Amino acid sequence: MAGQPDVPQLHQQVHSATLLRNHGVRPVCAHCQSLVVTSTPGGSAPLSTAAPAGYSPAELAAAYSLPANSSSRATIALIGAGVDGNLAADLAVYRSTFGLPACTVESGCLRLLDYTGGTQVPPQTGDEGKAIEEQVAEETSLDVDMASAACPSCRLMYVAVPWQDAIDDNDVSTGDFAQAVHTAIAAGASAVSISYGYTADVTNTRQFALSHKGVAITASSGDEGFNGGVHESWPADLPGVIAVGGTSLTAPGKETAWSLAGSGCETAFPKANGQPKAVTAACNGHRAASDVSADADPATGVAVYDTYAPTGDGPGNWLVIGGTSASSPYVAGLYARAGHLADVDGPNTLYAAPKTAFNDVTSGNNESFHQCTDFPGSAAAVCNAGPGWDGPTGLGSPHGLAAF
Amino acid sequence: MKKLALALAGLLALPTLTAAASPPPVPCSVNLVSFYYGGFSQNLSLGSFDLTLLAHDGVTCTLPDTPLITVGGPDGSPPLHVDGRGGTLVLRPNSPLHAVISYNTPDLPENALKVSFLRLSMPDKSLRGTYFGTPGVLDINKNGVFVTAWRTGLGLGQGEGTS
Repeated sequence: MAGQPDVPQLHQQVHSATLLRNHGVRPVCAHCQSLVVTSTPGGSAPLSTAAPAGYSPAELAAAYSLPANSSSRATIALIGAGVDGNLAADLAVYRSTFGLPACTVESGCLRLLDYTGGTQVPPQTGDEGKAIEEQVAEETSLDVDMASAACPSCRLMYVAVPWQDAIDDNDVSTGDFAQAVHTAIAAGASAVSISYGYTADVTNTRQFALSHKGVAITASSGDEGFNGGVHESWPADLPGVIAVGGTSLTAPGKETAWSLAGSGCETAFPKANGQPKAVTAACNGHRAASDVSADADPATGVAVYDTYAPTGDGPGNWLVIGGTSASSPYVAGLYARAGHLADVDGPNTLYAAPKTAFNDVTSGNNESFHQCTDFPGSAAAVCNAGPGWDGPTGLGSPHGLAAF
Repeated sequence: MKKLALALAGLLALPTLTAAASPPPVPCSVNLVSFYYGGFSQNLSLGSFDLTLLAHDGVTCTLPDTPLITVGGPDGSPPLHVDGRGGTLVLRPNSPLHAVISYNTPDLPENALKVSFLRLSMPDKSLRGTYFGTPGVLDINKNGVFVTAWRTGLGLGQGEGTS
């Protein structure tokens, strides 16, 4: 490397959405919905800095008009694959750097559980397991950091499914996630975030239909743009799950639809809970995703701290990461912070909220790979941001806590 | 006499029971599924092809998420690396399963190993063998063959998932 990256300059590039002019992105893992910014275009080594270059919690709070005070002690659960051996230590650095209150295992603020409800298994020691857990640690750090940013006073719970679920796409994996959600709720979670996506099929759309009244379950809508209009990724496709899309955030009130934000129609379901006909009409009378959104563009990515490197690679330190894996835990954190959970059953309360509770995102599209015009069952709004609901950004991004 | 009456009552009740409840999944046998190759590709360093399993009409059967595959040929069996953590999948006619089989092409003649067949063994011990991707003998690198876990396929049948 020619020298240490200029962090203030990188931070400025995040604000102007120009970070990817001189850097690339790569997926964090096969089924994680996150993209880490790399030091060079086309490279795999992450852009690693000694100080944060991505968006901070305070900058996100300003963009989304959040109140200064955070007093909720509700628990946000993050479901992820494998074990991050440095999770607690890295979270401590993130929170202290940004002036957030400490959240430690010792104080009971941070809980680490296995998907079966027991204690987490030790980190993997085999070559493949170590490599996967090292990759996924970027995702896991992103999840707990974004939940912390959304609700600094909340408790956190990381529930680990087997590391193989980061690479396998079948009903064993989706079954593990479904079990993890039940474990999190049984352990007291008020909001649950899943930043992973799997193929929807007969089994997981019927038997693993997650719906828990009184608990907000969020999931990433995906990082590959409009998905073709037949199936949305699991579990964001489920009626009882809040599908979280993505935006490019350059300044408060200046958001466009992120070009790779997931959106689509799930033809297995007539609607998401509470979704009005005006929205399902965009999917020819089916569940339309997303429901809501927040910053997810890696070009306007968030600051994440991760040092887990069991394979011997250099630690990541401060990273810039995007993807709807950033927006899903953030929205879950807002639900936990607002605390109005009694009536929550999927996205129903979002659709009942006043329009003023959202920043309506009205420009941009996500037709990089598929176009809505090629799929008769998907109206233009499923791919193109505009006034009111649209696929990439849902009802819009948060404007205060009134929607949650 | 009383036993006979009970047995008759049981027989008479059977059609009603079977009509009301779908039969529980049984372990997959090779006679319950079809399997297909597709997407064969090979370049200077890597070859791969897809294997798809589809249950026959009306069949619901179970498989481990780890593909039950062996590979061999004139040089014996190469090392086989199979993903999957060992859970159980349900295979239905409207929900196919896929695995990707890949291998490195040999860099030097001494690293080559000849393979010619792929064998799929089922939980009930039934077997079906066929060629390895393409008919004939293929040189692969002796580091072996890599198989992904069974991957769930798109394929919600009409009306599925909406009830």
